Amino acid sequence: MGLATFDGKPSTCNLDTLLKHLEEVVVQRMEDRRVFRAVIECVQNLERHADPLRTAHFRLMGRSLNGEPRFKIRSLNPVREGDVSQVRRWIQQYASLQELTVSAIDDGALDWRLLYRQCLDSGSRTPRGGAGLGWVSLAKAAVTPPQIRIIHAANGPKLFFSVEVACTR
Amino acid sequence: MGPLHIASTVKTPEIVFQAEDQRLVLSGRSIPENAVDFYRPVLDWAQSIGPDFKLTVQVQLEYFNTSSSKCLLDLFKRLEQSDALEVQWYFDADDEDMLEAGEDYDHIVNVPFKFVEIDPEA
Repeated sequence: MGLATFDGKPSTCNLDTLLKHLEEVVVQRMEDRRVFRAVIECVQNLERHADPLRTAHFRLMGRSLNGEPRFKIRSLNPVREGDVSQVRRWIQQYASLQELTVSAIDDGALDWRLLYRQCLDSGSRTPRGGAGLGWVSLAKAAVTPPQIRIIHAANGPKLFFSVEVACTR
Repeated sequence: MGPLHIASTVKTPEIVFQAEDQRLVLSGRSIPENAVDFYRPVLDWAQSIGPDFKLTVQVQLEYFNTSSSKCLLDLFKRLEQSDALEVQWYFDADDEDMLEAGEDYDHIVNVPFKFVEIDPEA
């Protein structure tokens, strides 16, 4: 079920309005703050990384699986021209992290908190982010590892991001 | 020790140093787009604390984004040099993630943490 949709310029004003609406939508349905925390990260990723002059897309969907509420957050945004190579490098870095987490999930051996603490204490940062900490935070809250990839559209590269969050572990 | 008072906004917490009980209180939500800029005056203020200064840092945050989480770690690390420091980490009884966040800081920095559970129904 679609709970919220945004198609517009990722300006601070637009995204603040979106975030306010999403808080009403999410908190109204679910007191568990994990979902809204994930929403905050995803919306702020748009503000940090989306091309401010082109349309970005955001979807929040909800469903119930075996009585457990689940929320899927998706965004699609054009990447700023000057950021493309940096984003590609970040995706490569992310890919190794995703590989690590997927294999660790398969092994049942992933220590999310250790990974989070390592990222938090790593000291590495990017001009607009925490060098993987946001992703690990989302992954920690997610049902499966978040998906992220560059889509080669006719009018330029776009970043696709998707994460599904459950309200109970 | 100079005064410190930053008023809250919809995206940033109130941060105030209460000189009478030597308490630094952070409350509200911390989701600024640029957390480094927001926390700079707090980090500068923390820089002036001497090792003998007794200070309680009361953290009562509802939400904080990942860039704020790095800045909070910077704050705790700057205050780590103080021998008489305690962090009081408040969390709602039904907010396990916030408790874990405090425990993560407790694990990383060499500062005593006291966890204070709040009854959300109270």
